[in-house]
Amino acid sequence: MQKAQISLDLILTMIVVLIIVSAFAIIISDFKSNQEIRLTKEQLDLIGQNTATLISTTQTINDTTFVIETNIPQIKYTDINGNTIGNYPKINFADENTLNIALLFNGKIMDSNFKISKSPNTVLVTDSLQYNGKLVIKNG
Amino acid sequence: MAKGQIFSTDLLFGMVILIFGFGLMLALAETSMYDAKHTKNERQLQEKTELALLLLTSSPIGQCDLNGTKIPYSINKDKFTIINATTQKQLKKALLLEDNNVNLSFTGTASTTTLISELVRNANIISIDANIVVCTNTTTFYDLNNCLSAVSPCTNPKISMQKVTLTVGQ
Repeated sequence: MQKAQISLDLILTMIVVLIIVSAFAIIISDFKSNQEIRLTKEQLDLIGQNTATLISTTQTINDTTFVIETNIPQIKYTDINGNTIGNYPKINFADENTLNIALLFNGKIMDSNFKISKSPNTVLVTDSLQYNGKLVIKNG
Repeated sequence: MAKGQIFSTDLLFGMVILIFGFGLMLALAETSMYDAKHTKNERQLQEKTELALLLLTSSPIGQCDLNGTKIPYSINKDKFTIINATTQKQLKKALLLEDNNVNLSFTGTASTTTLISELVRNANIISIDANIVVCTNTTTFYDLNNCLSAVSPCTNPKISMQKVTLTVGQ
């Protein structure tokens, strides 16, 4: 081996180290992205489940006239530019027995459906849901 | 080490240990995620079962209506006189338990009435017992009132206190 010569072993080691570091970087980036999606979906599902339970519980007073106001929390997530965003989800009845909750997440619609039991007269008022998270459940 | 040799035994051992370590790390991460998912499923099943019991005993599905007064936590057993596969499916749908294995019965001093009987052998099982009022189509509010004010245990066949058991598996 000559003076100042770079050995084949060193070059190979450098290549292997670079490949491993790049692979880890890709795995971590993919993991973070998946975690963000999961975390957002988890928040959406929790709000959807709680709202569906609340609506189904109104069956116990379905022979009365009622107005229930509830505050839906913002769903917080990090967008593709790394900014933390807080948005209220959209909540609607998909049909008589299904509640749909949806959120525009990084340009795509993320949504979930939940089974509910309700009186035909029970309606949702979502006019101010997008502004202050106020959801109104009305009957009669 | 021979001239021009690329991989040494040390390097191969090192690679094997590295891959093994990486696999172990992934397995640990998977276990912790499974635990979190299991806890979430359990919580959801608990909420689902409690809601089903509430719907059965405190909504028009099964609730007693005594002269216009709707009694919370009660079952009108005359609403469930026909029990077959179709009615069981309808009841499961009404209780939002279509996707679950369900066992539902209420037990009095003399008899047990089974509304839904399915084999519940799932990974997650929640069972709830609750004391409820069981009435019939002919029970009146006065029957309830008389039973409530009776000094000795109420023996009116049209109204009784029974234990409802709801078991839900997912």
